[in-house]
Amino acid sequence: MKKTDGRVQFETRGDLPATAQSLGGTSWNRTGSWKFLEPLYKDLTPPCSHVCLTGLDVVAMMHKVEQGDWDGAARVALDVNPFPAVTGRVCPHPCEQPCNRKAYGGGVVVHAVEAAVGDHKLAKAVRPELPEAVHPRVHVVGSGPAGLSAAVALRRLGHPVTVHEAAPEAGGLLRYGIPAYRLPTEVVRAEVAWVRSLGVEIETGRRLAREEIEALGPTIFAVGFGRSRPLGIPGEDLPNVLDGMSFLAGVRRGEETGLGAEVAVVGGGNTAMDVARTLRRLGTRTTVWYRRTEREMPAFRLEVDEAKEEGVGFRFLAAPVRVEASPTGRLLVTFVRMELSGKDASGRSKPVPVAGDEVTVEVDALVKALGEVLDDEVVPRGAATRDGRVGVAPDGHAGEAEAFPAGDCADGTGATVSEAIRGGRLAAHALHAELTGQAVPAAAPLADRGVDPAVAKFKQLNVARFRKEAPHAPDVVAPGERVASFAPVEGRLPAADAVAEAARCFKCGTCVECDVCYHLCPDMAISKKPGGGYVIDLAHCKGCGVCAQECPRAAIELRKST
Amino acid sequence: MSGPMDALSHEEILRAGHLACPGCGVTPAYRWALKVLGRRTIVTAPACCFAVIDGAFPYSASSVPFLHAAFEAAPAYASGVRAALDVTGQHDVNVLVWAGDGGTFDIGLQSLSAAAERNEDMIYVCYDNEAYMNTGIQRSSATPRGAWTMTTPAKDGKREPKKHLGEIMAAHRIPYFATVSISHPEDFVRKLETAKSMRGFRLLHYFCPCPTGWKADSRHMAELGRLAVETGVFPLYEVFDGVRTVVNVAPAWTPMKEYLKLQGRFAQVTPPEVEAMEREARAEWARLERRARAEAEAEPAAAPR
Amino acid sequence: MTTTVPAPAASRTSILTGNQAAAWGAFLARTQVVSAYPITPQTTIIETLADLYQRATWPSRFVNVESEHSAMAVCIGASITGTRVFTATSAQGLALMHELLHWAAGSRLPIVMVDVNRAMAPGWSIWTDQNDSLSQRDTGWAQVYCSTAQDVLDHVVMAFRLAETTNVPVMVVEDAFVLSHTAEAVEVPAQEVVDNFLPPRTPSFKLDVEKPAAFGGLLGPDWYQEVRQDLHDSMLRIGGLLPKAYADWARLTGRAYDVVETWHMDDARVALVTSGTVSQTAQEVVESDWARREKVGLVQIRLFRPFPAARLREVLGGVEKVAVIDRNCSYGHHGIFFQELKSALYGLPDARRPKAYGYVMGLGGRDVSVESIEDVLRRTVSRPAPEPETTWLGAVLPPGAPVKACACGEEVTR
Repeated sequence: MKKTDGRVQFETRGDLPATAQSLGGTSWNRTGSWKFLEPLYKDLTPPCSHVCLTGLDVVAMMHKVEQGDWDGAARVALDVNPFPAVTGRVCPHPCEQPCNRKAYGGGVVVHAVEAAVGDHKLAKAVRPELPEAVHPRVHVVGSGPAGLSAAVALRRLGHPVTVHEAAPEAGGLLRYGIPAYRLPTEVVRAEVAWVRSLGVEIETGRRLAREEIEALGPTIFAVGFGRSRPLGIPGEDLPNVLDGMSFLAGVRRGEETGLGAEVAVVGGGNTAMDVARTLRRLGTRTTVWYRRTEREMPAFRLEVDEAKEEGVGFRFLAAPVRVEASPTGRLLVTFVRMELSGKDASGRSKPVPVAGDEVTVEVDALVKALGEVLDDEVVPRGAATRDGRVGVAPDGHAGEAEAFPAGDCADGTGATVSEAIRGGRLAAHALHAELTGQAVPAAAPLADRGVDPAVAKFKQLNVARFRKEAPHAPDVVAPGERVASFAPVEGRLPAADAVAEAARCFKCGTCVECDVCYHLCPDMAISKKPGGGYVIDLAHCKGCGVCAQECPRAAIELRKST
Repeated sequence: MSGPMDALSHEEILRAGHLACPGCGVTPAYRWALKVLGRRTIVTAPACCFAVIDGAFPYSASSVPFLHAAFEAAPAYASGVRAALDVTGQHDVNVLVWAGDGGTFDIGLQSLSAAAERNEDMIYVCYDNEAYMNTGIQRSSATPRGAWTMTTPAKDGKREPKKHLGEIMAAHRIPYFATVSISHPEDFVRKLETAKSMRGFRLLHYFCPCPTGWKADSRHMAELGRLAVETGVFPLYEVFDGVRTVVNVAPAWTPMKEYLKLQGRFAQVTPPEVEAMEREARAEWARLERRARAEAEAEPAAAPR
Repeated sequence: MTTTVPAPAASRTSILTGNQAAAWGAFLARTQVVSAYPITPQTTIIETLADLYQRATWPSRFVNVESEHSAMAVCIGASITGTRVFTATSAQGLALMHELLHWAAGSRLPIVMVDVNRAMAPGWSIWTDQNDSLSQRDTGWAQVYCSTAQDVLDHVVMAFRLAETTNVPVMVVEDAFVLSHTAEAVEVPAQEVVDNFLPPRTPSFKLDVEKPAAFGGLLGPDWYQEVRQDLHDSMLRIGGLLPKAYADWARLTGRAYDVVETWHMDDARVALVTSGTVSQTAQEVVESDWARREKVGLVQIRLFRPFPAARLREVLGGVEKVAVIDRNCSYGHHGIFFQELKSALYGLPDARRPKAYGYVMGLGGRDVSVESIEDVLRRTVSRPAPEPETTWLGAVLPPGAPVKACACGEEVTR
């Protein structure tokens, strides 16, 4: 008897057993020839990462947390975002909107897990890989989220970095703009300390003049906004008509304690909400006046909701037309009723005043929160400004100037901290390319691991493999209690809950080696590779498609057999 | 996956190249069972799909000893194997009977009953694909009401309900009976481990989707098992010593039509019949729960581990 | 009924029925697994065995099953796992086993079974004839027909050697009641004698977790025939092995056997061919003055499968007439020993080929008496030619009852 490739060949009759006894296995039988479909491991883009403002590989971070690898999770975040403790708290987390988990027990509370990862980074001083600082020193003007992000990115690219900050403390908007109940001061200070621990120098307390900035050579320009947009109405210059950002900064500095018993806030953005909610915490009756309706408010939805919970009043379709001093030393503010008619350039409904339909209120102060613009005085010469922001050329330059704008002051950057962080990183890359001639590939963690751009949809998932459990969300302080202090509105998610929440994440489109395909393959055609992942034995795969159908995460595609 | 599945060996005892149809539900279960029981196991299988799946002479997909048995007599063959193992001191070798529904519910019921009554030390897995599939889809007493088969070709399919194996086995007071489904691997493996930890006659009734015979898409193999559990068509439960019932997975009461619509064999079922199936499933689950509760109340101290 | 038989320390003579002798044979062979199901008239075999196994000194298991079918299935499972197994049955039970007899033989398992020849129902009969065992002729089992209780004991022991040497199962057959329940003096050999003759089984293949293989899987047209030819060849080997076993057994016990026993065949003109207990009666007949005058010899066929055709040709070549008594019938043809024998004689040259006369009689326990055997011989001697070839003998009718012609043309008479 001979065996060739596992097949038995009888040479004489004497080779035959006396009964039907097996003499070998079946592996020689290439059942793969039966198939007309074959599986292929192909990760799809999770909907969260698809919309993440920093480009975070959300599921990779979630997977690390689920496995208890907090350092690993922090490093996943650090790939695109040095400050997850900040973004976990202040990002509007668009990632949570399209979460496929929403239809199955509730969306994943991504931001709280991110905050927990950020807190871990701070507590354990998790640092990225840092090369020797062999490149020329670079300067960053402004220590807000964009500036600090750029500083970290440059340090990671091998530059010594100096950050220049006008305010007494670094952090910019994080320190002086966003109220402490959203972003506690100690988190900002810890982030700044962490940046310093990477070797970044941060000089505070001195505002650089334009010439000084120009003299720094190629520079990250991340000064944020310098002043509020004016109302452009009579009486705007009266005392007790305040600028929102200045008011918030004053409160964060501990200087501002109150504006009286009743205050009107004009505007519908996040600054208006921050001001109004801060005022409520200072014991002030506060009404927000907005010229469009609630639907058009640019503020984050959660901010509006929480402001309402905290007793902030809202008056819509009303724009101030004049401010007068009242006989008692207060302010008389007159608003005209607005109507929405057609669309404006931004695509929003356009408010039009209804002549003569006015109302006058008496308040102790009026706070302007109509948005902010750049402080032209510090913009380097040669930089073009447009609508209060510095234009950014495709190569990252601000026009002719040797400045690389980032953050709020850079035209095209979105209104969120997350976008500022991303902008800082991109500006840093542009600056590095300028200085070294070496282009930095865009951070694209998903593309780097071969993820298909197509977004994983709910109906592609096999949710039966998941338990339908409610989210593990952080505690939220009751509104009545909230307005009594500047303590965080949302508590921290305990580590165990963060792990549970990370486990609840579907990891849409992503193979996490759950072994469902491996265990269910009827043909032993899927085996585990020693280093992780799977290998498909197409010589035996019959193309039944069970693996693709059962994959909880839509990470296996069935395609026509070749 | 989790727990019991992660603990399974990565060593394959069932080999590739076997002759199961694409998407056949039997092979993953067999594979898991052998991983739980290990190489010191002897398999006996009567005439059934698996007798073909394992391979034609001179090959076998199983790398454990495998004894083909006459259709009606696998439990008796296995009893002989057990006896021989015991008298030669091989008490640690597991005897596993791997039989289809025909060999269990129908032609093999007599020898099954006898082996159960003798409390033979073996594990019997009935992979129930609800018809004679190896011979080309003829009705068995495990075929559910309403299902088309080649021998129930009339427009209303099979008219009689499925025979209740669980009650038959419970009536034998065997140490362990459990129902298992491809869709619940952890439950499957846990129950096999439970069975393995015991002695005497243990039977697992495995709901085995058959894409070929059910006129279903091969990729829905596990989905069919899942829907059978979710709709209450195949409740997952255990019975210890025939008198202590434990229900494991409460049905989600997914609408019956979700289960039926994946299978051509139910194409002729009318809406009132679907409702009747739902009523039957709920009634059966209620019976199970009542029994479990009553038994627990009657003998709280004897509650299973 | 529980039968208690003391175990002899050395070979000793006991008064045993055929069934008790069968049980002793299986016990002395140190059978490891016994599985059986009660059926009259086999029951006292398993009762005796159950009792004997109370004091087995080797690990053994007695599996009480729910049917003969399962009994054989248990035997198959136990045998293919490497142990020595035994069972016993009768009539309906044997018929129920039919499919599994093929499994046992096709699996090449050295199972030994005693069949107590009992007539098949309906109507219910518990009395002897051979149609049960002969219906299993083509299942691949060797068959040995015994005529005394001593035969039964000795052949059960020897059957294990034949079976285990060739991997062919062996059926040892005894007549219901006239042998199974009739007590005779039987010499029960000492255990050492049997141990000398029959070493522990060493299977050439088995279910073994250390050497896994599948048994009994799909066997396609490419190889089925070759595998079956091996069964056939192995069965044929028994024809040569049994005389060797007889010789060894005779050395150990002093009891000599032959696959075909003969009396007065040296100068016989007419040969009477029998099997089973009829042979005992026939021995008396051939000693009669008339028989000696007519030169009637007797041939007892002990081994039926493999059929000792060559030996029978040797014994019967040149004899004028052969009368075959069949306690069985292949309905629509002949008695089965008759047709088998006739087929064997066809190989003789015309001049030496005897005329063959078939007699079907003794069915359903009808006594085959000295007188009825004499009737057979007188008919054979008096008829110049076997026309018709088969005669049914036996129905006892009231005096003066009308005579009805049998389908084969022979009148039914006594």
